Amino acid sequence: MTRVTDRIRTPSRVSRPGGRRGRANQQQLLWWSGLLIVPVIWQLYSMVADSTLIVGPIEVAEAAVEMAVDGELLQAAGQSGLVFLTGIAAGTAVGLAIGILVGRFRTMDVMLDPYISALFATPLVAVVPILIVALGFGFGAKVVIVAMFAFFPVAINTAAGVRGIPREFDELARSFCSSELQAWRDILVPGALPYIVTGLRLAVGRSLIAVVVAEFSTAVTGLGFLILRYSRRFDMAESLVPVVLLMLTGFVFYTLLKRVEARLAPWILRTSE
Amino acid sequence: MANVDIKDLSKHFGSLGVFDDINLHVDDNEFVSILGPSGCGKTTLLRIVAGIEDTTAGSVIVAGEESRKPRPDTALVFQNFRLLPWRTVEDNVAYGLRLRGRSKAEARSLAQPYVMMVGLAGREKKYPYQLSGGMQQRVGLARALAVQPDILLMDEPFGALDAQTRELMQDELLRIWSADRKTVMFVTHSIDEAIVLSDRVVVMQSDPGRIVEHIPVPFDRPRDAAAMRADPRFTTLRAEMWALLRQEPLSSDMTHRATGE
Ligand SMILES: Nc1ncnc2c1ncn2[C@@H]1O[C@H](COP(=O)(O)OP(=O)(O)OP(=O)(O)O)[C@@H](O)[C@H]1O
Ligand SMILES: [Mg+2]
Repeated sequence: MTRVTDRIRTPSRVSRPGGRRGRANQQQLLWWSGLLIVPVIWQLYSMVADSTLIVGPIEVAEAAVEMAVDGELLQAAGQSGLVFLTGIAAGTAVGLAIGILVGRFRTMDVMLDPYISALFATPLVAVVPILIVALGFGFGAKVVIVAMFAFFPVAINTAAGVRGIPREFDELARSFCSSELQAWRDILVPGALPYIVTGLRLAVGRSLIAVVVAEFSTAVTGLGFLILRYSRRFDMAESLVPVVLLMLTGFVFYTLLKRVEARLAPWILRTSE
Repeated sequence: MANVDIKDLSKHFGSLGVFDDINLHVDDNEFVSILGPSGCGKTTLLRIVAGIEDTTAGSVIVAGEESRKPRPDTALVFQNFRLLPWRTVEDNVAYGLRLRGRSKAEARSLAQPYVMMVGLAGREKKYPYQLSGGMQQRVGLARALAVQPDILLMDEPFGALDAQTRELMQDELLRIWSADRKTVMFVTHSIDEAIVLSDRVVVMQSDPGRIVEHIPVPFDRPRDAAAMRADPRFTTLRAEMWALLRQEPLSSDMTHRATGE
């Protein structure tokens, strides 16, 4: 978003030398104050509220240090991280394959569309208990739950991206005797890449939700376990630590993917210049 | 033997008949230009030979085999370039080489001479959107040359070039072709270009699309384009083709001279 705004303002920048840096600084300032305003208000409120149940960010930070030193935070984060990464990788892989098939072949589109549309609109949490009956309480069940959450945004976006690739390139590939899989590699995946990355970005958020859902509803492990344990003991600061960690993870992945997108698809951002 | 034999070829798009009963034989290592007004079916003809368009009736025999799908020894230069926007110049040129099993690095180094050949050295890392239309067109040409096809099908490959670059590229193509003979079908709107480059010019007319004349170009090779243009035979050929393109009946004198050599 910032890129787009920058571009629109280019003329005024040109007329005022030095304005570019000033504006960038100003934007950074805004970004940081936006980031800080919530914790500051939260801290003030917790100090005024005078209740052990309402803790401020400082207490949460202290709890985080304690839990990190203790080792339990790292262990829990490790467990959750493994579920998250395996699940999102599996969901993305299947989502890519199905997305390309649906985007490329009309028959696939017609056949699979009802399922994809229906399941995408279904609150997937409703399916979790059924999955547990089928798959048990272990690591496998957790991965499947996360993969299922990651699958839909990736598949749907990939399909949209592949549909948008001009037919012309298909002819180009055929005229050079490209095999179907080579066409996936050379044309479909790179052509749909911006869409795929957007799908992946949505998948990150949904997968983080899925990790916690999975950890609450199967054998309780990882960050979900910490949340449950500490909140039952009314240790609010400790129970908020994993929540903040999840937020940070989501934020970092989201920002990284945004960068990756700009870097992987330079022709998209710049064709309009 | 990389020859092309088109027999009684017809092509219709639904109710629209593009052409009927086209017959054309292109010999091994022969350079044939196809000259004709817009819409007479030149692109369609080339696409059929390339194997990316169906036929309605008739047959196309390439190197002795009925051609129904693209062949690895044939390369098509598209009229509208068709560069992959997500690939740099060198990777676009390397596209066909990659498909023929080369690694990325190998394909790039094999593509490099062709990038130079079309005058794009130093622009290897640019994306198509960073190139002018004429440069993009040259990338498309280099991509086809890089796979070293026996049969080269070119659809107005110099159409987007300015007059000077166009003549430079014609010289370059003459040079490439003399050094490494191929069978070429070259579609163009330009009479001069057709004469300078070809062994034979096939003139088409439209409504319905048809071949009206095969005109041999009686200039020895290697050719000097500038000297050719000054030659009186050039002027005669030119006038003859002009007359055909305007769908005027030929004088018997001209017909005689054209088929004489
Ligand atoms: N896919 C298609 N569907 C329907 N009609 C088509 C299709 N492709 C070409 N045509 C028609 O076939 C005719 C010949 O088209 P073609 O592109 O072969 O002409 P051309 O001789 O290459 O013209 P130009 O010199 O303008 O490139 C035109 O009337 C065109 O409208
Ligand atoms: Mg054409």
